[in-house]
Amino acid sequence: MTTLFFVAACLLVVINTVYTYPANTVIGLVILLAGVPVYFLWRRREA
Amino acid sequence: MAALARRLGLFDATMLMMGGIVGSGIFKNPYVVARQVRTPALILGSWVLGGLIALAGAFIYAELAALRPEVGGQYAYLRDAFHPAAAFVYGWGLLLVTQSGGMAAVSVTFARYVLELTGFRAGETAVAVGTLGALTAINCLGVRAGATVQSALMVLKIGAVLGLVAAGWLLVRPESGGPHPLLDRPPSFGLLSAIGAALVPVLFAYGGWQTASFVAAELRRPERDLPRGLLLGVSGVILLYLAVNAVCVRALGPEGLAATTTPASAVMRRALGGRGASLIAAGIAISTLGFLSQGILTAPRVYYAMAEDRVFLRVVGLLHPRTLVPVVAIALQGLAAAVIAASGRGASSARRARRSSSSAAGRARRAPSAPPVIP
Repeated sequence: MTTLFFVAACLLVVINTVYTYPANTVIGLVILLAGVPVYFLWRRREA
Repeated sequence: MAALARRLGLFDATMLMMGGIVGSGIFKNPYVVARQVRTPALILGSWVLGGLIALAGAFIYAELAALRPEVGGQYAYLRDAFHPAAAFVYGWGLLLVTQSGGMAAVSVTFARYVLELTGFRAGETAVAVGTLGALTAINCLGVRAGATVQSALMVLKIGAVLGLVAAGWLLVRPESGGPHPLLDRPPSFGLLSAIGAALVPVLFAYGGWQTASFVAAELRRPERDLPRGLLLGVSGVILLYLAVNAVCVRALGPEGLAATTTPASAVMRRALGGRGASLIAAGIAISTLGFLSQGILTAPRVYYAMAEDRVFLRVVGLLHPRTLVPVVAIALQGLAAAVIAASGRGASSARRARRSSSSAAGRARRAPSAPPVIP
């Protein structure tokens, strides 16, 4: 119950941010997603 | 093999928690909310509701902290709950954008206020980079040294906030625009969406407690002190925020609060004249320095945890044999923030933030978008 209440509040913030700053949202997402291939490349190198 | 030293207790945890949440924003943010909802009951109600949400989050994080009292905190929760890649992306974003960029912008703000207060002639960038360097050095001396500085700055910050509250309460006659109605419009969808718009900056202001979890491996009893520090810290922040907002509403009235962009200075100016405004500038300098010292203490523990997990440069996992802190990770954080600050990105983004908040002032009457909120 506590968790649902908190998650709903976080969703409100996320939706508002996407709506208010669409360009920044896209830039931020691209930077974050760029980390995914880096992670897998690193794993392979270390293995 | 060396391990992190468990040297921090409940007081350190609580101060880290509050230091992660309360920045210089407390002196500015009240007006942002007052532009969305217009009566004392709705303004203070938004801060109460936001506080309840923050408390709910604190209880969730308290459970997580008790389950996983590990270095990296939230990084470890993401790794074990979802996937190591999700945790990696979190640390990646922390180093490349959120933490380093935030610290860069705040170090420039700190430099500006210090130069203004002291009348010292020096470049903003030089002061910003020098401050980051000094905090990096202090934190390399040991987790005790870093935490003592952080706690001292947090205590000063609390003192500055209480000073504002006391001066506003005792020295300023309340702004009485007659009895205020409870709501600024009849209960409707419009009222609900205005409360939602007011809640967004409130929730940003209450955010930031997760960073204290990063140092879990340096608390003597993390499974006990991290949850307690979390709940004590968030409760303390709720009290501070409610007190500041109550004083702003009382001294300036809801209309006056919505009309200014520097509410704390406005209250202090009414209480003490021009001297009051410089006191607030000093409070902002202390708060920004506290934010920097909290960041340089906490975030490097995530990079250290990543190196330990072998998903980051191994050298970042290096501990100094005597001080037992991840010196390379700490230096990396200081350097990343300094590079962004020196490249002018920090300065120009701070300028941009100021500009957009002043232009937002013009359109805030109808636009649902809130100006940027400073943590």
